[in-house]
Amino acid sequence: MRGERPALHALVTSYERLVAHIVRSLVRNPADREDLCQETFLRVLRSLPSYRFQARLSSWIGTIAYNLCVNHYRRRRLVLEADLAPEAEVDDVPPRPLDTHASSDTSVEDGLAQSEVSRLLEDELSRLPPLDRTMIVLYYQDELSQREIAEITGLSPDAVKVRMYRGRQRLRSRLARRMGQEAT
Amino acid sequence: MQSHPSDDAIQQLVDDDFAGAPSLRAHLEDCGACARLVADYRALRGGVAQIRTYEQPPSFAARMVERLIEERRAAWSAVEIAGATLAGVAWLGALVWISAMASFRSSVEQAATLLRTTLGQALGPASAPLVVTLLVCLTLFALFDRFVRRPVRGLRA
Repeated sequence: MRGERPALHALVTSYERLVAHIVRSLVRNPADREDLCQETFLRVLRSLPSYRFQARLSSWIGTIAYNLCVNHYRRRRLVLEADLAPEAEVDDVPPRPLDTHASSDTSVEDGLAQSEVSRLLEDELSRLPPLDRTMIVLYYQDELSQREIAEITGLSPDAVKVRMYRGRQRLRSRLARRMGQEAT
Repeated sequence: MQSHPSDDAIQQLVDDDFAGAPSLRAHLEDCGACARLVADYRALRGGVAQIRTYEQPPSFAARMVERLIEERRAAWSAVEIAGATLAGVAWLGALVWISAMASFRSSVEQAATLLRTTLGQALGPASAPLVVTLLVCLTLFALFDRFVRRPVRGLRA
C-alpha cells in the first residue's frame, strides 16, 4: 500500500490525455465525458492484474476507454456509425494517388496564421463523424500510429487508413471552402 | 503522365519532418499539387495539435487519484469483511462443536479439557496453550490493524 498514491498519480497523469482525447472526441455531453473518463481509470485499476502485456499499456487503456464509449452509445440506443452513413460509400474507396488533388489551387495554409487555421479546424473537427474525429485527434495530438489506432478501435489497419484519408480530405476541402468564405 | 505518390507517403513525409524519401522530395519540387498537399497536411498537423477542446481539465488527475484510492480502500474493506465473517463463522462453529461435545456434562471446564485433549493429540501435549495464545494474538493484531493502524495512516495520507 505504501507508495500507492504516487503510483496512481503517475498512472492517471500518464494516460489522462489519451483517455480524454478518446472520450471527448466520441461523446458530446460534458457530464457523460467526466463519468466515462473516471470509469475508464476505475476499470483500468480493477483490470490491471489481468494485463498480460499483449498490447502496449497505452493501447490497452485506450481500448478500455473506447469500449466504454461504444457501450455508452449502445445504452443510449445511439449508433456510433450512424452519422457515418451518408458518407458510407467512401469506405469502399482505397486511398488514391494524388491525381485528384491537382485541381486544388489554394493551400489551406495560404494567408492564414496557424492559430486561425487551428480555430477553423476545431470547428470543422466537431462536424466530423465521431469515429473519424477520434482517429484524427489520436493521430495528430497523441501521435499514435495507424496500427495503434486500429488496436484501440478494433478496426483493421486498412480500415483506419481509409478513414484517416477520408477525414483528412474532408477537413482539407472544408477548410479551403471556409477560408474562401472568410476571405470574401 | 506524371505519377504522384500515395496519400500515405505524403502524410509519412510530413510526420517524419521530411526525413528520408529523397525521390519524394524531388517530386515535390516539380509538382505543385503534391507540394500543396504537403503544405495542407503540415497545416493540419500543426492546427490539430494546438486544439485544446479535447484536453482534460487540470483538476481531473487529483480528483481521479482520490477516487482510485477510495476504490482500493473499498476493495480492501470487502476482503476484510469476508475474512472477519469467515473467522466469525469458524469461531462460532468451534464453540457449537465444543458445546455439543460437552453438553452432556454441561461444563466449560470439560469443554476446555476436550479442546486441550484434541489439540494435544493432534499437535503435541504442550500445543493447546500455544495455539490459544496465537489465536488471541492474531485476533488482537487484526483488531488493532483495523481500528487503529489503518485509520491513523489514512489520516496521515
